[in-house]
Amino acid sequence: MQLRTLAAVALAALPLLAGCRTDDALGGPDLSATHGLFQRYVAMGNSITAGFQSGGINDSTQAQSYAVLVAQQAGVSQSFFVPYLNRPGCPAPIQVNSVNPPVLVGGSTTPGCALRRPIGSMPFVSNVAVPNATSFSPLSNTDPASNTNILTQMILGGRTQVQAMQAAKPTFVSAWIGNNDVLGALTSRTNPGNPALVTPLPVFQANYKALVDSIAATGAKAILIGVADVASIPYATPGAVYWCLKTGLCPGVPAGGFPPTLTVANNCSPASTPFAGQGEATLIPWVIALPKFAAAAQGVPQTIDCAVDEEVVLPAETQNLQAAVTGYNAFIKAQAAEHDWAYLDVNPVLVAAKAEIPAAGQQPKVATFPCLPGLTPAQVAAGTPCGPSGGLNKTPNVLFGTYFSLDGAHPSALAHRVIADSVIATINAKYATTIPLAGL
Amino acid sequence: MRRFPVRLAVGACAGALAAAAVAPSSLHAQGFGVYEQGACTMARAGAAVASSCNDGSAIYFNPAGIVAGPDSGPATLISAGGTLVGARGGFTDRFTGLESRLQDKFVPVPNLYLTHRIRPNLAAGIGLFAPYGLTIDWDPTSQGRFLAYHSRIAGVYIQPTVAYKFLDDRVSLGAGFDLSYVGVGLKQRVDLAAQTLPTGATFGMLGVPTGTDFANVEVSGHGIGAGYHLGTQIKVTDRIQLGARYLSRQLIKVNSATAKITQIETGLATATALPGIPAGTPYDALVAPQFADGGPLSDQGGSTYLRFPDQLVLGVAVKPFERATLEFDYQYTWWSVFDQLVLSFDRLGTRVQHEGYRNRSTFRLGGEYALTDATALRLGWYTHKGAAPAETVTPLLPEGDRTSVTAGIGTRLGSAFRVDVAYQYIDQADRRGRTTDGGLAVPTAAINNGLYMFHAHLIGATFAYAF
Repeated sequence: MQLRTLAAVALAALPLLAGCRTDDALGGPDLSATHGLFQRYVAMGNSITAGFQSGGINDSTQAQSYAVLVAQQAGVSQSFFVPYLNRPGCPAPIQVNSVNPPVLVGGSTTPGCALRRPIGSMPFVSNVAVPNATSFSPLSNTDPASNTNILTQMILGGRTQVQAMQAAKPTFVSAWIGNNDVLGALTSRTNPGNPALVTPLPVFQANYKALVDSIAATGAKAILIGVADVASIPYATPGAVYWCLKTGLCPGVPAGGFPPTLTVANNCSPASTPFAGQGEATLIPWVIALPKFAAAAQGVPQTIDCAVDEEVVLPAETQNLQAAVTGYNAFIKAQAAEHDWAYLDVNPVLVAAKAEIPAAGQQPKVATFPCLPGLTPAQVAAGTPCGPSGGLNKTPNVLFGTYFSLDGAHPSALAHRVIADSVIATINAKYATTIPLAGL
Repeated sequence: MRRFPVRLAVGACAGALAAAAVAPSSLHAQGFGVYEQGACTMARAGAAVASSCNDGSAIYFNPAGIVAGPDSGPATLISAGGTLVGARGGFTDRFTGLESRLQDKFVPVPNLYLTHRIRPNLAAGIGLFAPYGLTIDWDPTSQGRFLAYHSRIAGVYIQPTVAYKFLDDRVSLGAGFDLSYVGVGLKQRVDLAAQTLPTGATFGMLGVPTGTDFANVEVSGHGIGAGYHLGTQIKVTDRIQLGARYLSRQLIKVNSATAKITQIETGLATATALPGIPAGTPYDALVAPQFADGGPLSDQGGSTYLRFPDQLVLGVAVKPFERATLEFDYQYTWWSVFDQLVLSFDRLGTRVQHEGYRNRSTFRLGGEYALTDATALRLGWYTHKGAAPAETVTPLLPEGDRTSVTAGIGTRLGSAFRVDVAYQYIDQADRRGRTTDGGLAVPTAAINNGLYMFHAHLIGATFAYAF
C-alpha cells in the first residue's frame, strides 16, 4: 500500500517538479485600433508619399512622409519598412534655393545619389512610392511616360510598384498617384503648362484602373487619394499678384518693393483693371520669376510678360491643368466607390490653407506669392516682409508658406502631418478604425 | 569580369547533413535527439532504464537489460520496428504576421535489434538505431529559406552489446560499442540583396529587394564516429528496481561533404543605369559568371564536424501491485558540446555558426498494466526544457520546451510473436526565434523576429519474434 501511495504522489508531483509549458508571446504590434487592417500596410505613390522635400530625398525627409506617420499612428511602424536612403540623399534636398545652382544639404551644388541604408532583415518594402512616378509607373518601369529614374532603382530594385506591393501581401494600401500626370506640365522649364505633357483622361483612366485592379487582386482594403490641384500650389503664382505688387494699383495690395528695373507687363493685370489683363488665370513659376528678380536687383532690366508661353502658364493651359485634375479625381473617387474603399480629396484642405490669412507676424500656410529673401545685405539683415501681414523672412531662401518645402511643389514636414491626419480621419470614417491623429 | 564576393550562409546548416539510410525527425525530442527506439518503451514515454521492455530495445535504453529476462524459454529474440513522425507547425513573423508552414510529412524512424542468451546470466546482442537525427522540411518559399528550408541529420548507431548478471541475479551490467554512420544534408537559398559588390556595398543598397533568391545550395555529406554505452540494473526488492545508463559523446568528422549550387533566375533587371552597368541589365547576367566552373558559386567539396552529446539516465521502477509497473527516469544530456558549427568549403571559405546549446534535463514517467498474461496497456508522460538558447532558434532546428503524452498496447501472438504499438503526442511551447542572421556573425536574441509553433504526432510499432 505504501508503494501505491508513493507512486500516486510521484505521478501527481512530477509535472510540478518538472515545470509546465510556458509559451513565448508573439510580441507583435497592437493592431486593435485598426482591427488588424494595418497588419501589412503598403503605401504607393510618387514623390509626396516617398517623402521628397525641397527637391531632394534622404532618410530624414522619408521619415517625415505622411505614409510613415500614418503607419506610426496605426501602431505598425515596426512593420512599415521604408527604403531609407543615406544622407545627404538621392539627390540631397536643397538647403539654399535662392542661388543658381542651389546649395544642397551637405554643401554640394551638384546633385548626386547616396546608396540605400544597409537593408538588414527588411522582409519587404512598405513604402513603394517613387518620386516622379506617374499613372504609368505602378505597372511599368520601361514605358517612357513612367518617368523611371535612379530612385526607381534605389527603392524598387528593378520591380514595379505593383510588384513590390504584391510582394508585401498587403492588408491595406494607400495610393496617391496622378500628381505627376499634370505637375510635369506645370514644372516644364521650356514651356510651363505644356498641354502635351498632361496625361489624357482616357489614358489616365486606363492606367489607374490597372493600378486599382492590382490592389483589389491582393484582397487588401485601400484608400485612394485624389490628385492635388497643381494650380493651387505656390510653385506658380498668378501673374496678377506680380502686377498688383509691382504697381500698387490693386485695392488693399500695397506695392511690394520690386526692383525698379523689373517690369511686370500690363497683360498680367487682373481682368477688372482698365488694362483688362489675364493675370488671374496666368501662372508664373517661381523658378522663372526668381532669376528675373535677381538680375533686376543687379540693375539688368527684366520683364515678366504674361503672354510669353515659354515662361508662363497661359490661361488656357491653366484651365487644362485644372480640368485634368477634376477629371482624374472624378475617376479616382468612382473607383474607390466601386471597390468600397476610402477616398480622400486633399484639395479642400489645400484651398482652405491658401485662403487662410496668417496672424500678424506669422508666415502663411500656403504663400500666395513667394516670400523672397533679402536682395541686399541690409534687407537680409533686417528680414524681408512676407506679404501684407506676414512675418519677416530672415532666411536666405525663397519661402512658400509653412506647408511647402523649398521647391515650392512638395509638402513640408508640417504639411505631411496635416495630410496624415486627413488620411487617418478618412480611414477611421470609412473602416470604423480608431487610429489616433498625428496632430500638429 | 565583375567579381562579387559572396557571403553564403551555408554554414548555417553545417550541422544539418544527413544519411541516406534512415531519416529520423527531431521535432520529437530534445535538441536533435531521438528517443523513440521501440514501441513498448515509446508508450511509456521512454521510461525504461530500470525495467526494460522485452523486445530487444534494451540495447538502447539500457544495455544491462538484455540479460534481465527469464532464464528459461527462447534464447534468441529479433525485433524490428519503426516510428512514423509527423511534425506539424510553422513560423509567424511578429511584425508582418506572415506565416511559413512546415511541410506535412510523416518521417519513418526504423530500429532493429537481435539478442541472444548465451548462458542464464550472460547475453549478447546487436542493435541498429538512430539516437540523434532530424529532418525538417519547410516550403522552399518559406521566410527562413536563406538559413535553411531542409535540414537533415541521421546518426545511425550499430551497437554490439554484452550483459552479465550476478549477485543472485540482482545486479546486471551491460556494455556496448557504438559505431555510428552519420549523414547530413541541407538546402538553402541565397539572397542576392545580401551579396556584396567590390565596392563593399550590397545589392540591397542598390535597391535589390530582400528575399531575391538567386542561388540554391544543396549540401550533403557523411562521416563516421565511435563511442560506447554502459548500463546497469539493480533489483532492490521484488518490487523496486533501479537502473542507470551512460551513452558516450561522439565526434563525427564529415570530410566528404559536397555543395551543389544552382543559379535561380530572378527575372529582375536594373531600372536605370548604374556605374558601369547599363539600364535594363539583368541581374542574372551580372552574377552568372559566379556559377561557372571554378567560380565561387560552382559545385565544390567541403568538410565539417558534429558532436553528439553524451547521455546519463537514472531510473527507478516500482510495482505497486503485481500487474502494474511504474517507472520514473531522469535524463541529463550534455548538449553544451553542440556549441558551434564549422563548415569549410573549397571556394566559399569557412563559416563558424554559434549554436550555444545548453545541458538539459528530461523527466519521464511511464506505466504499464498487464491486462492479461499476454497483453499490456501502457501510458507515459515526459517533459524537458529546450536545449537551444534563445538566439539559435532557427528554421534548422526550432526546438523548445516540450511535454509529451504517450499510450500504447502490446500483446503476444502465440508463443513466439509479439507486437507493440504506441502513439505519442508532443506539445512544444511556442518559442520566439528568427529566420535570418541579420547580417551578424553571432546573432543575438534581439533579432528574433517571430514565433515558432510546433506539435507532433508519432505512431510506433515493433514486431518481435523469439525462438
